[in-house]
Amino acid sequence: MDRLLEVRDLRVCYRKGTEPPTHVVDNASFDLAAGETLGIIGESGCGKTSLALALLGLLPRGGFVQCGEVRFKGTNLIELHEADLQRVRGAEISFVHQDAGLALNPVLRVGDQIAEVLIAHRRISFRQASGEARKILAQIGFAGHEQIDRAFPHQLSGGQKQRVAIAQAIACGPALVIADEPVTALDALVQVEIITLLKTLQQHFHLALILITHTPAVLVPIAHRIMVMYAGRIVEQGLAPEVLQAPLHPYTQGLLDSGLDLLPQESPAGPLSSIPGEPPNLAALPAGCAFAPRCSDRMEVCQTREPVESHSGKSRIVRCIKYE
Amino acid sequence: MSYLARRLGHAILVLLGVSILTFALLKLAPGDYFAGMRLNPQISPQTVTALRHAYGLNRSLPVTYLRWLRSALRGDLGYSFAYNTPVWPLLRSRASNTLILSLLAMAGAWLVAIPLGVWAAAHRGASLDRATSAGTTLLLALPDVLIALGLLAFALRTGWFPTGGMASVAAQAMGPAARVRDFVLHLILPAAALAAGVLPILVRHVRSAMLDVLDSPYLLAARGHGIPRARLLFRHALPAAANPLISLFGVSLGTLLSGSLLIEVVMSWPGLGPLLLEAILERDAYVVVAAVLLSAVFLVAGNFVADVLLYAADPRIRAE
Ligand SMILES: Nc1ncnc2c1ncn2[C@@H]1O[C@H](COP(=O)(O)OP(=O)(O)OP(=O)(O)O)[C@@H](O)[C@H]1O
Ligand SMILES: [Mg+2]
Repeated sequence: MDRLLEVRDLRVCYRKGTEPPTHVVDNASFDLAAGETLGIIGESGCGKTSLALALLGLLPRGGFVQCGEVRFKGTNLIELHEADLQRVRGAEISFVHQDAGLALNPVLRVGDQIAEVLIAHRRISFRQASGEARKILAQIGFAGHEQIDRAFPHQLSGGQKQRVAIAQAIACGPALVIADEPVTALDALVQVEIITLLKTLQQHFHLALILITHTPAVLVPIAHRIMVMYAGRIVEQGLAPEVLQAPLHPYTQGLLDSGLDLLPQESPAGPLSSIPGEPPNLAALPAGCAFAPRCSDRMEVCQTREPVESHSGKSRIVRCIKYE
Repeated sequence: MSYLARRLGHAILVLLGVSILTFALLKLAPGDYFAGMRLNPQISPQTVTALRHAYGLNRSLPVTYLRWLRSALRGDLGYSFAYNTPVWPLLRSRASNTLILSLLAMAGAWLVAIPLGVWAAAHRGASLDRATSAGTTLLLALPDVLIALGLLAFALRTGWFPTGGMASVAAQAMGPAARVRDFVLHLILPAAALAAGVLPILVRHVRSAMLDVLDSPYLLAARGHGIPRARLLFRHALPAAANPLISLFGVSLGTLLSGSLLIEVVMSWPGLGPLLLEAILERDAYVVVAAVLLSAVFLVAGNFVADVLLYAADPRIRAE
């Protein structure tokens, strides 16, 4: 398989005032092949969004990549200038943001918002772009809605907005789509629809997909590989069936305890983490393993020494002292 | 429709209130137009009393007001004692001079403020932004009169611009092209002084409205789609930041007539300003009332225009 994306030792920091920068992603290394779906999972605040934004140079004010490489088709994106990055964004790699309700411009028609992406990357007139936008909308599940491109975001439901955001992302035929929690804000039924849509598009266009979520169930139907993040570190990665069926890291085991059913029959409260305690403050990480204070398998060394990556099998990596 | 009716009712109430208040204030102020004549030994007190009687100045406030209101509704705004003509023709030519001046200043100020504010917001914290903010602070701190006087001094020094009025004495003898040129030369300095007064306020509003939007998730998303920077700023951010700016535009339309009074007096532009000042000093009551009323009409109309523009610009407001 040809590698589309190679991330090596990426470290993302935020700087606030004169304090030393906080590392919110550290030592992140992973690969992605063309047409492959990678699921990234972890609790809130463990650095998933920061990692994804860093890949495209989209970190907010104060955020920066301190070291590492992001090779996309051989080019290191970290070294690209803003003008060159702008040609990659939306055209080769696109981003679907957390909460489509906020990611669409409230004063522009949705058809125009899709057309804008096309105009940014292709030499076409506004008219052609609008026509194209209508076609994409029809393709993406709005077939019956003739006038949908004339609508404003506030006239659409949450699921419809997410479809529009996905339409924007695939408009220019990118090789990679990064979707940050594309279904978290939606009802369970709509979640299934959107995941199905992503899967269809992924197969149809041979897209590589990075899907970020904190609900493992979302990944079951779609992910080829899974990466688990905790406190800014990748603590486990491997093929989806292996990670889901036989999680190695105690954190992964805890996450999966909450179940893998997207439409839970009995507990309508939805999946909640069954791990006691809270993720640590990234600005003041405990010594040793960051997960140790919450870990059920904690040993003495865990509180003093940081775990390193150990490989097991072909593509299975885990960062836990138990497996060293 | 009911919205329009409500607006109209509101406007009528405002205008009634303004006219009553102006009448009352003029009545409360000591003296009237004919008071000065009493000091003149050549005019007998009987004549003065007769004049006051003839113009109805001896009546009580409610009676005067109601008589004025009745004739105003028929389109007659009264009579100027000082100019000895009906108020409306006098007011109309002065108001149109003021409008020309302030429309030009307003257009100029907005045309500069929008790119400057957008640019400062896009470079937040950089030296460009800090320079802009220092510049606006300086302009804000300078009183308008001082700016006007500075420009007058500049005109005197260089001799490039005339220093007062709206046409040269010799203008009558000029050809049409030369006359336009002469008019424009007279217009530039007062318009610049007026624009310099509002510019810093507009720049600050544009900048802060843009800053709010530039941090929004939908702008981050648009950036993530690779929209080029200029398009991001002017096609995506500016329309989303427009609401507070449209309201401000309405206010600036509303103050077109009253905003330039001071500058007109200092730079002797023959607009409403000098007329109103004179009329107040001489207690030329009907001129004052009509001028104030005209300003109020503009204020109401400016707000109305802003509402209509907001309705046109923001789909969320249309939905309500
Ligand atoms: N703009 C910012 N400035 C400073 N710190 C930030 C900023 N954005 C995020 N952080 C910090 O970075 C860490 C990781 O945040 P991030 O948003 O990447 O997590 P996440 O895994 O995406 O969480 P969620 O599931 O809530 O989206 C958090 O501790 C957060 O407080
Ligand atoms: Mg996130």
